[in-house]
Amino acid sequence: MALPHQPPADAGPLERFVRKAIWRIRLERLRLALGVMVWISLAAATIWTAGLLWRPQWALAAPIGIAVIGALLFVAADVALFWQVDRRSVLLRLDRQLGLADATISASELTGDIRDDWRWRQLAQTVNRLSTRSWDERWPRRWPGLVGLGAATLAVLCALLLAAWRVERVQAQPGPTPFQKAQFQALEEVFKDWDEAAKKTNDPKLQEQLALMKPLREQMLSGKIDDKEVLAALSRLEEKLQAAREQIQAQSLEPSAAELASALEPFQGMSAMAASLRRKDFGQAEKLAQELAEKLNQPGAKLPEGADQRENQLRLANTAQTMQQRGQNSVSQALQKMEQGMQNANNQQTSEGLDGLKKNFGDQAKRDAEKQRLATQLAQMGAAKDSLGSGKSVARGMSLLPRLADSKQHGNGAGSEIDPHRFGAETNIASNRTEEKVTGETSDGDSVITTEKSREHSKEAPTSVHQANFHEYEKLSREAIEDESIPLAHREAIRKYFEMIRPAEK
Amino acid sequence: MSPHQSPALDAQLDQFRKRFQQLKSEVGKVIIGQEDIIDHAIIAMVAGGHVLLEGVPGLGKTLLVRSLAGALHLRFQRIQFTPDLMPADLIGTKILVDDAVGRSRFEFSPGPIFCNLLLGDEINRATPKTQSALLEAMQEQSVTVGGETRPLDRPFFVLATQNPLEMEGTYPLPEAQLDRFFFKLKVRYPSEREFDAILDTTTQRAAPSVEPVFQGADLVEMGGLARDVPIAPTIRQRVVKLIMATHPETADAPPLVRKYVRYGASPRAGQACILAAKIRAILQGRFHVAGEDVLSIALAVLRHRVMLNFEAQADGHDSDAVLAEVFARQQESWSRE
Repeated sequence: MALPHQPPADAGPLERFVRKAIWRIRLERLRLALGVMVWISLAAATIWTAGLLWRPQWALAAPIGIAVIGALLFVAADVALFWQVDRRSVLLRLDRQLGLADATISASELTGDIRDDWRWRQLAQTVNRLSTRSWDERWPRRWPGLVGLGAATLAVLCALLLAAWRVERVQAQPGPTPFQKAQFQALEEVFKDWDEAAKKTNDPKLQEQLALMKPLREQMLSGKIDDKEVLAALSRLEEKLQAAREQIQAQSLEPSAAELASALEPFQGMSAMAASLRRKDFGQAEKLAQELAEKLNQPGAKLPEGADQRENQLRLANTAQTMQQRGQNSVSQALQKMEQGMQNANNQQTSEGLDGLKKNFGDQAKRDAEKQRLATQLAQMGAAKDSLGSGKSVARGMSLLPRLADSKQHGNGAGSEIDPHRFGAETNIASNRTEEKVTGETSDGDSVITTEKSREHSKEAPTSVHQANFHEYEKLSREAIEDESIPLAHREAIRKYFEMIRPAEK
Repeated sequence: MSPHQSPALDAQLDQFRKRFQQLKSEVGKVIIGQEDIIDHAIIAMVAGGHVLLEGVPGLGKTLLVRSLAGALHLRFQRIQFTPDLMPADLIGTKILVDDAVGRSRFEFSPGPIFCNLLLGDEINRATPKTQSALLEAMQEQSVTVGGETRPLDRPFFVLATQNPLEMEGTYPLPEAQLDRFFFKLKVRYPSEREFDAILDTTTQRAAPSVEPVFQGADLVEMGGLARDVPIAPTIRQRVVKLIMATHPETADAPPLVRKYVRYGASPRAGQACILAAKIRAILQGRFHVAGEDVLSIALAVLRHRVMLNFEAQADGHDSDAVLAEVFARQQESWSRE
């Protein structure tokens, strides 16, 4: 066979072929990388299309998907083209691909002690073979498959078109965004609470307030209102609730309760009613007034003891006058009627006076319940406003429904959901107490001292002191509970605490 | 003219290929077919190695050896190995002779081993003792008789034959002696066309004859040139891995080797691989050894050097099957380099 006899002056020609081989390898890598990306794109487009049909919101992730695929493509192409290629691998691949029987790897490695004539001939032979071999036939350039790329591009485009269509649909659909939903969650809870309460009570005032809230809710559900507008609407509603609360406050008998109690206390059988008034428990007072009126109406009934005393009658008259001055005409008339009945020793007239008081006390009890409901509603408004920023729901327990239960009892409304042992077991004040009574006489000689020990204790004394102390603080606690400047949670804690330490009814 | 451009090397290589081809053609006059066997036998002789020919009777083994000897101007000796053959019958002995003045003295009478080409016919029929008499001659190219070492003529080749069928009354060659054979060639049965040609040429009045084409010294010179062929470290490493893969305890050993091989090939196998591959590289017109050169001669080099265990014999596996897996694995690993 013909052998080359003119070896190259240096290894430059071999390097030229090595560089050519390196680019072929890089091209193959690029093809492989693009092939992988084609499959990834096809898979992503398929999943995405399915996702779009399932959930239109996926359309919003279109830019992210395109960015991720683009970034992956860029990285894959970079790695394929610029990642270093091992020279030895290139030489071995070159030998295999062109069928050179390890010629290039040998040409690269035959150095050192190898005889020059052998080395140069081997190099010349290798270069000769590299030059004469048909590269495109033995190692064809394989460009990235256009069909696969086209299919992937088409799939991605279809998915994008579908995404665009779904985006339009998502935007066209009325309703708040997920973020707005979170923002309005508390308000929605408040609305449902009011709605449920209104259905149970048929309270026209509550229904009126609910009607004010309905347009706001509809706008919320349609997503046509932003949080600032909601805030403004809530503030307006809050002002209305506050005005209603102030109106109730103006009609309230609470400021006159102590005076009424003082006027009624001297009469036998009315001390319990007076105590209820001092506790501002108008519901209880109403009940007691009704019982007294019914007793007086019974045949042979006598006026209560003390009714014939002029001093007591005058106190009633003075109180009636004071009530009139304060605008509490109905109460004033009832007291006047009682005073006249007592003066005339007329049971019926006195009973009518008591009926008038009963009616006023009942009205006051209703006002108390309404006032408490308004306080809760105002607290709910505050929480709803807070939640516009945080997206949190309304605090547990801040509902009108427990208040409704309270209002039926016509109590003082200091709270009904109470864990009896929330602050620990009730203190048994006197059970462990030992009383010592020491008596003695001072005289000449030995003193006589008598000591009496007894576990018996006066139950009355500590209880009465406790009641006295409680009434001192009750007013303060009530003021604290109604004070808007104190955080709601603290007000709740104060209310529950005082509810727990409230002395038992006699 | 640059020393690199001297045509001397090219001329030597051309001469090498020409002589090889001449020898092959001359032997081919007598031996019909079996080209692969002739190529391998000549390669082994150029490398200075010995050949063990295995085949059923009548395939021309002995004729091949005789033809090679006749084509090379080599002194040829043939020994028919039998169980009663003694070492002295092979290497010679001292005999008592009378000189002209009537005094008796011992004189060394050289055996048939003192030749250039020794045909050991049915070598496995001799006892191990007699077989071992060949060890020194094959490796050192000398024999020691009566404490006196006598060199053999150069070149010295042993071309031995053995019959794989008749196992009764035979003594399998010991590993040490097997390892000294450069190649073990399995002479296959001729094809129909070859058979027809054999019948045609051997049944006429004028049988073809072999004429010497060059001297035995030329063969030694060819061997020297072959040793100059460079081999790249990568190819040498491949040879090392190939030999190591025949050892069951190595990590690269394929499953068949682990299961059936008792002992792998010796380093002498590696030397034989590279020497034979160098000669093949020249014949292929290359100035370097390639992996394909190694693979093409590896079976002949390794098949008698891989010792199989009893399980292999019981399962009917021979060394060729085991080595085929080794080569396949190695080729696969080369393609991953």
